[in-house]
Amino acid sequence: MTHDEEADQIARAAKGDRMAMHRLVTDYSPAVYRLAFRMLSRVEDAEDVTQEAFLRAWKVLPKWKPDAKLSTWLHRVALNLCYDRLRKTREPLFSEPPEQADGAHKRPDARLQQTQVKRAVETAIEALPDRQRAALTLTALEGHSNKLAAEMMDISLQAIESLLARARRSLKTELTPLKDSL
Amino acid sequence: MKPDMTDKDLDQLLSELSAPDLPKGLATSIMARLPERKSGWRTYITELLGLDGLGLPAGGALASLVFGVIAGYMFVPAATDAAVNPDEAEIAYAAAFGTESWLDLTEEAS
Repeated sequence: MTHDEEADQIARAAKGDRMAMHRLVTDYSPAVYRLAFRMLSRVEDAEDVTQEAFLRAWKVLPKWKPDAKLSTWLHRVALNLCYDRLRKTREPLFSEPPEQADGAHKRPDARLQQTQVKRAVETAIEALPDRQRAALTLTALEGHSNKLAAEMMDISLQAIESLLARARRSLKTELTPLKDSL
Repeated sequence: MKPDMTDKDLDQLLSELSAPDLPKGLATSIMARLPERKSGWRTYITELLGLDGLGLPAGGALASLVFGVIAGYMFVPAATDAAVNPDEAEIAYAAAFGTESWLDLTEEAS
């Protein structure tokens, strides 16, 4: 969605046009959900965070400033919601989601998840501090530039580069024993 | 002793973590949870004055009374246009208070 298209959809959604809001949800929810899932590692929590982020968007759209980027804002809100949840419930992360009867919610990488290597990588990411994990997720896993990821996290470029450097250093140390498995 | 892991090695490991798909029905669920958006100048003014935070209905008697007072003293002669077009209400507000956009008065919540 181009900036002009986004602005048009936002303006229409702000006036109560549900079709326009549906377009925004359809376009942006997959990325917001992926971020939430990678941060929280639970399908149910990721769904809740995604829904909450869009509900908040719906509320603020009438006051939306044209120069703001909705996708960046949604990522920022989702991240803050994730931080809140992580603070409240320091439960084991990357736990298996409950099995769905139709398999609809099963992770697409379920087969690979059985491997020890993948589990080790996930566990190492899980052990990272929240902000390092968010920085790594937005850049290395979601493919955003450092600059955009910094905007999403509401921090400076230098800060995210520092977070990434520390995250990668920790991961490399933790995962060095797996080098032979590559 | 094993050699240190390189950036390239790490990137390869990270690339194998595929992304989960959006669960079916989540977008529909989000849409179902969106509250109705009230439109019109009563809501516009009510929200501006913060009356919605008091739990008062946008079309309630108090909101109507407050708007009537404001319309009478501040938005004349633009009140007529404002009643049918929220954009006109913004213009009238800007004229009354010297603010380009009332959106500037509000910090987006996050």
